Formats: sequence, structure tokens, C-alpha cells
Amino acid sequence: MSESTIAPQHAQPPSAPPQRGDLNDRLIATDVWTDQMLAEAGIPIIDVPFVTFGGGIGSFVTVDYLRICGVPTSAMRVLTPLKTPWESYEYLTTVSQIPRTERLRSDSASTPDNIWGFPSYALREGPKQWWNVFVEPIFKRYYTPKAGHAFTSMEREMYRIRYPEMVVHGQVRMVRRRAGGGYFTVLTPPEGAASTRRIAYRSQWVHVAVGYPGLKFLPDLQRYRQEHNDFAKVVNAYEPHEHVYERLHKRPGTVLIRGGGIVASRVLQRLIDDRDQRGLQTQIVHLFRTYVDKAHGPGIFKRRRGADGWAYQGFNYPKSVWGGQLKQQVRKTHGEERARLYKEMGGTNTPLRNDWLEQLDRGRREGWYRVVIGQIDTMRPVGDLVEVAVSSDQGPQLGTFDFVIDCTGLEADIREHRVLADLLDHSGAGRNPVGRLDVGTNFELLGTQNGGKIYASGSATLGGPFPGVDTFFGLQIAAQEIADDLIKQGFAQKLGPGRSTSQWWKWVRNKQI
Amino acid sequence: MASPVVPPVVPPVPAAAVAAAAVGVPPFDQVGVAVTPGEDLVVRLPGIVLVAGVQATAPAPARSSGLGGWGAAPAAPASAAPAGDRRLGELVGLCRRVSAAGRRAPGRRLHEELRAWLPTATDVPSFAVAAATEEGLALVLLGDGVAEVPELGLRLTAGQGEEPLSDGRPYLDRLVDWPPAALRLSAGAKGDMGPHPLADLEAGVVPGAAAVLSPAPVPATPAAPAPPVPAGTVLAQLPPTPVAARVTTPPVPPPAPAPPVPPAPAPVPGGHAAHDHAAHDHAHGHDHGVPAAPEPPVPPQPVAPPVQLPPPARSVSFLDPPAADEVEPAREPLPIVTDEQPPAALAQEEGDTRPKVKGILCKNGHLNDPRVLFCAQCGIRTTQQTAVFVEGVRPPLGLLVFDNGATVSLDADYLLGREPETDERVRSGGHRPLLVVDQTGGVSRHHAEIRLEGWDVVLTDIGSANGTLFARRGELAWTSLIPGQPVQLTPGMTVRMGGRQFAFESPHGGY
Repeated sequence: MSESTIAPQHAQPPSAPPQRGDLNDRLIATDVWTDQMLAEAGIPIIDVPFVTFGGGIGSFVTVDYLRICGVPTSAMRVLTPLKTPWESYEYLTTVSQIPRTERLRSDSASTPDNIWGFPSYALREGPKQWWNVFVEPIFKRYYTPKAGHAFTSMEREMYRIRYPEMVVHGQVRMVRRRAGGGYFTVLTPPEGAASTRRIAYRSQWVHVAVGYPGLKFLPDLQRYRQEHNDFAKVVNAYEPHEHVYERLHKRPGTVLIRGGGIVASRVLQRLIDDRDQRGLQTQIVHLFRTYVDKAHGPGIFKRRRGADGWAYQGFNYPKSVWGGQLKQQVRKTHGEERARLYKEMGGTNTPLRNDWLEQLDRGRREGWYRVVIGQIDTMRPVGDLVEVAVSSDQGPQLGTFDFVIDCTGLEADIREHRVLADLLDHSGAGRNPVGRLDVGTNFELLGTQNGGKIYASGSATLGGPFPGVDTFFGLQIAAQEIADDLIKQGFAQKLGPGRSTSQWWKWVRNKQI
Repeated sequence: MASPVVPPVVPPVPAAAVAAAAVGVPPFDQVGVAVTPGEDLVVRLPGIVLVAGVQATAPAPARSSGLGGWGAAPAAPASAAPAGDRRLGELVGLCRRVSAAGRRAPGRRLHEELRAWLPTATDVPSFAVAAATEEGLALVLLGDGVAEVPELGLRLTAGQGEEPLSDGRPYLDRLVDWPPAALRLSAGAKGDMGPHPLADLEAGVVPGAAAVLSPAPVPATPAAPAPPVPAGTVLAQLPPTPVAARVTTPPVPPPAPAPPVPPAPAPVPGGHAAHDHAAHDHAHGHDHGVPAAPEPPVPPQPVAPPVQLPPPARSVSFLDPPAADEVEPAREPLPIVTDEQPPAALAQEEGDTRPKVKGILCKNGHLNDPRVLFCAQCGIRTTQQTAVFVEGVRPPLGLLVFDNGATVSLDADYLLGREPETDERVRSGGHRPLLVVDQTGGVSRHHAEIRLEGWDVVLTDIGSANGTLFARRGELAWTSLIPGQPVQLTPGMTVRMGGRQFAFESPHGGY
């Protein structure tokens, strides 16, 4: 993987006139900046000890923790293009068929609005769910909270900790080290919001929480769109595709589903719900690349249930990554060995839930749900349909479908994100065995110390000593580690039993801090 | 291909003299080219006739000119093709290129191209080429190539050229006037056999020893008035011409002053010096330096009225793939691209009339609605970098899903109604018609219009009789559209007109 150049930026207009307070070539080429260089470029400098950017749930949870540890709002800034911390998350869950009323795939105690994890979502939801979490997963399937529940409780917490006071809107362009200690975080505010094109935040600590660099639509989907200018018939499950359901409601059709993860199960459930509620005649063909027909795994203690093509797992990760033996195991390994462990616990999987399993059983019985194993070779529009050529385990197959829904979720490389690429190129950050940002056990970005620290949490740090970073609970653990590290450096106050209890009561009473 | 063709107009030509004066030089493509049997290759392209020697690679059986009465020389079987003769192929390719570049008078250009090409090529087979120029002919002879006018005793060989090629082979290129008699081109083959009187190669590549260019047209089918054919081929009505008169009656005016020849009619005033068809013995007028051989005067022949022949009909050659006029002109190879290119959506081609819109680019250069979080093309986050507004070709902004399941992709403005095609906006090409068939009769002839404005889709009721209703996603009540007042369509919005209904869905602009 080439580490040498920044990915080309098409967006730069060919000859934009140099604006006041813009970056210049000298700044871009220099790894360590002096205050003087910024002054020469006319970029104003704002001092704040702690800057977090990304502004999603990762930033929110970290700021929440620090606020509870007594850091005033004036000492922190959240640089973000998002309106709310969950905006991006809600978008993705909604389009992938988890609207606010549906259940996420998250533990009851993974509460981004509550650093204690108590009371959990299940406790708050009602007595029926208490019983569920008591007997799960032996007698019941895992309890998971509804998406809307998570968002509304986060909204409450957001106002409680006066989060909006810390938000500065704009795009973060880069983070560079400062000569003499600390960092500069360069922000591009929205047009007209500031008198200069860029603003630099001078801080001792920087927290990187940009989340997924983005989705990565499969090349064949991108090619299909580019060649045929057709955005309607072949869709990715992570983009709005309500027209598919709308159209199937109006006229019966055949849909090809591709992929075996949770999104595939959600999309199937939506299709079959529609089928049941509206009496539709939707035919479903499901294309698996790897078909799992039985429990599988490297050892007797590391087995994952599987049947009918799916690999089942309650959550994204085996539960032991959060507090069990797997957490210890990963923490102690390095390099290849760690990459191997990640590979073992990785892989596409989906939670067992009775509703859609029953639906699929019925579909198999009644013949409107069929499974093909193979890979798509080509897609092309034929009239109102899409012709798909598949190399299946039964040889090449050709079929026409009304829609193809691609439920494979690929994440782009971290280099796809401009700021992360800049960190790799100019600020000394490195990659971990899995290829993402290399962080230590305290979620400090290794190799970037400069009289302060850069921390990172979220999906960009997957592959570090703590697995499961791209979950609610993983973000909370990262926030805890970061807060502990900052407490050691004197930025925040220790969260001992007294403070913790009093803060918890404030949370219960929803008292603004 | 099947475009209707104006029926050919064959002007009544009263006398040869008139035609000669009017034409001046016979249009090259209307001269008859007869091929004598042999093993070399005769190529006729628009404006060019080439005879190239074939180094005996495949013994082609000498064939009698088994021509039918249709005039077109049948293609030789593929086995007679000089397989693997690369130079010959290059030569033919060069001629094709030159012919395609300017078919009316490719002669001078052919000279230049050959001069440029020949020094770089070795082992080029002997050949003889005649090509049209504005005033006469351009001849090129190489090796054993010979151009002769047997009736006048004129003979040009490559050896008469000023400077041979670098490898010592004789080479001649020269501009000459049209000889007043049949011109025979050969690549040195000693074929004594004359062409079949009916042989006529209109275009193509055939085996043969020599090509005989006779400025008078060759009779095609026994002249029956052909009905106009609505095809790419135009048939000319030919007057019945005695076959014997064909070769000897060229209505060609060589430029030289004609010495008085007894049986000649009056000289023809024209662009070139007047010359009579019957006068054959004044070769000194031609600048190829061959001393005029005294020749017995040929008795005057009945003059065949010259006929403006239409362009040659298409002939199919099995030897060589496409006819010259089907070959695309040579063009520069596409540049080799190593850098990552911005995708096609941004290609600002001249004359690209597709509607443009200002949007933001994702990291990978795809144009997007400024309001989206993820690129619609590749899925990358659009929020990770500063929004830079760029103009590009607008992608489809969404989809109308009608109640019968029909879907319409919104890539242009639409006019909806019972008879949308009668609206002025449709007739002027501004809107596309979208026929909405409604059994209840509730849809007006021109009911509503859908316009794309930037990244938004806007619906306007254009004065329908029964009105238009809409409901946003989740709304149970219908709202009535005020005529003339546009409403922005949001994803999930349902619109009802008459007894019909459609929903709008969009990958752009939020969820």
C-alpha cells in the first residue's frame, strides 16, 4: 500500500484565487508549524486545550466523559460538519432499514448517553425487557435497544452537558504538530461564517473521531452507475432506496439481494414485512458469496453458529472482546498475531432474531425466497429490468431482476479520508496490523506525541489493542481510557466514587452541568 | 444507410463535345476499370486505382474473366490472397487512407505519402498507381510497374523516373494528363489477355494482372431503364452503347494543342486545349516524355454520348475487409492515461448540451448534491472535505413510481397530462411528454409539469381541470396544489392527479 502521496484531490478548483487566511504551499509541505508561519499566512489562531473533530458519537461520548470529569465547556471544542452527533449514524441506520422504531444491534448497557451504563436501555424500556436481559441469550434472544431510544436519550444528554456550546461547524482540513509543543487543527468554516478561509485551533490535545472514512460501493455497482447512468435499479443498502419498496408495492417484482450481514437481514425483513402486510408477490433471490451451513470457528471455544447461509452472532463482536478473555488476548498480542485474531473474530455475521428467521423459513417453504451461492460477473439494464450474470456454484447463471440490492458493506481505506491521510503523511501516525490507525492502550495515536497527545477512537482505530472500537461500547471504553490519560496529565479531575455518584445523580435528575 | 435518395437525373446529353467541355476531366470514379486476369492485385478505391505485384505466395489459378453480365468483377476466393504480405497490406492501407482523406483528387497527396513511406519500407512489391488530381492523373510506378496507353503506344516505366529509391529500385512519380485512350496499369505481369469487354471494377480489391482505365463508362446491364431505387446506390440510365465504341471514344481533352487531324470535328473550347476524341496520335502533348509513336489513324468511331455516371455502386470484396468508404479516417490513437481521471460527470466537453448543475465533489471526484452525507456514486463521505462547488452534468434526480408500477427516471423536465405532446413546451423541446392515462377522465390534457431546478424537483399544476393533490411521507391528508404555484417534491411524496397516483423517491437530498 502506497504511503507516499496524498490521494489526488479533484475538488480543488484549478485556479482559485488565493484567499485571505488560506493555506499556502509552505504550510502544506511542512510537518511541524511555527506560530509565525500561520501568522504569515494570515490564519487566525484560537487557543483551546482540547479539540475533538469528527463530531459524531465518538466525539460526543468523549466530551461527555470529560464534562463529567469536570472539564468546562470553554476548554473543549468539537469541530464538525454534522448538526447533531448522531446525524450520520441515523442516516445510515435509516437507509439500511433500521428506522427509529427498529432495534439496533447493540448491547443494552452500551449507552452513549450514560457513561455508567446504568440504567441500561432495557431497564429504561420496561419490565418486560428486564426479564429478557435476565434470561438472554439462553432462553431469549439478546435484547437490543431501539434506534429512536438511543437518539432521544443522546439528545437529552447533549443538552445536559451543554454540548452545543462547544460545537464549531466546519471541515477539518488537517492536524499538524506545533514547534514548541501542541498541535494546530486547521478548520475550514462554512462560507461566510468567518472572515478568513481557515482557522487554526492551537491545542495541547487533539481527539480524532472521524468514524468511517465512508462506504465503498463495490466496483461493479459503481461501474454500472457510470456506464448506464441508472441509480434506481441497482442500489446499495446504505443509500436511500425507498423507491424499491415503493415500486414493489405497486407491481410485483423480483429482487436480488447480495450479502449476508445484518443489513441483508434487515432488507429481507423489510421486503417480507411489506409482502406480508400488503399482500405483495415479491420474489427474492439471495446471493451469498460464502454460504455458512453450520457452526464454524477455529476452536471449540470460538465457535459461531450458522445455518442457511448466515453466520450468527449476537453483536458485531464476540461478547468476550469487551471484558472477557478475548480482550486480554488481543491486548497482549502484536503484529501478525493480532491481525490473525482480528481475522478470526471478524467476518460477516448477523444477529439471530426470530422474526426474520421465521419469515425466511416460510419463504423457503413457499418458494418465494431462493438462495444462490456465487458472485456477480456483470450487470446491465434490459428494458425495465437488470440482467445479472452470476458465476454460481452450479455454473454460470443469467437472470433478470427488477432490482439488485447490494447489502455488502465495505469500508474505505483510512487513507481515503483526507485528514487521516494527512496524519499518516505529516504527523507521524502509523498503521496497525489491520491497516488502520495505530493506537496504544490509552487510545493515543502512536508516534504523534508533541508536548501533548493526539487520541483517536472509533472505526479508524480498528485493529488496536482493544477490539470492538466501532461500537457504542467501544467508543465508551475509548472515551474512558482517554479521560483517564487526560486526568493523569491534569486536564480533568479524577472521577472517584464521590464525583461519580454525585454526577450519576445529576444524570438521573437530568441536571445540566 | 437506407436514406431515401433522389432519383438520379441523367441529363440528356446531346453531344460529346458539350459534355467534354463541361466536364473537362472525366471524374475519376466514373471511368470504367476493367481488370485483366492475373495473379497480381487490383485495388480500386475512390480516386485511386492500384495494381500491385503479388510475390507468388499463393498460386492463384489463372481465371478466365468469368464475369457475368452485371459488370462487377467477382471477388477472388480468399485462397488467392497473398497471405502475409505485410508491405502490400500497408500499401493498400495507405491508399485507403489517402482516398478517405480526399476522394476527389487524392493524387498529390498520394505522391507525398508514398514519398514519405517508401524510404522507410523495404521489399515493397512492384506496383503502379493512378490517382485523380484536379487536372489529370498522378502516376506512381515502382519496380516493374508500368503505365501504358497501348492504343497510342505510350509507355511509362518506373525506370524512367528521375531518382530511384534508396535500395536502387526504379521509382517514378509524375503528374500527367488523362490520356485520350485506355490506360493500362500493371505491376509487370505479362498478361496478354485483354479484359473482358464487360469487366468493370467499381470498387474493391480483386486479383488481376492489370487494370485498364477507360474514360468512357463501361456498359452495365443492357440498358433497361431502372426504376429509382431508394437505397444508397443510385442507378444511372445508360444509353445503349456499342461495345466496340467504348474504348476508343474517350471524351477527354488533353491539354496539348491538337494537330489537325483530318476526320476530327471542330475543336472543343474548354479549360484545356481542345482536343478531339478521335485524334489519338499527339502524345507529345503529354509531359511524360515518351516520343510520340506514329500510329495509324483510327477511323472515326461513332461517338458514344458520355454519361455522368453516378458514384460506383458498392461492391463487396471477400479479400479485404471493408470498402474504402466504410473505413473510418485514420485518427490519432487515444492517449495513454496513467493518472487518475475525474469521472465522466465532469467532462466538460464542448457541445455537451446535457443540463448542468452546481454541486460538490466527493473525494473521488463524483458530483453530488451539496446536502448529501455520502457520495451517491461511490459511497465515500462527502463531509470530510471542504465543499467546493463545481458545475457538472446533472445525474437523474429521482424516480417517479406510478401506481401501475411504471417508473420514470427524472433526468429532464416533464409535462404530464392526457395529451402532453400538444403542449407548446413539449413541441419546442423544452419538456418531455409524460402521458398519464386515466380511465376516470380526471387528468387534463396538460395537467402538471415537473421541472428540475438545481438539485430539486419541482411540481407545478399548470391549470388542470380537476387539480393535483399531494401528500408528504407519513402524511395522511392530501394537500391541494395551487395552480401555477410550484411545490418541491420530497422523497416519499405521493402525488395524485385524477384517478392516477405516483410517488417520488430520490437518492439525493436527504431521507
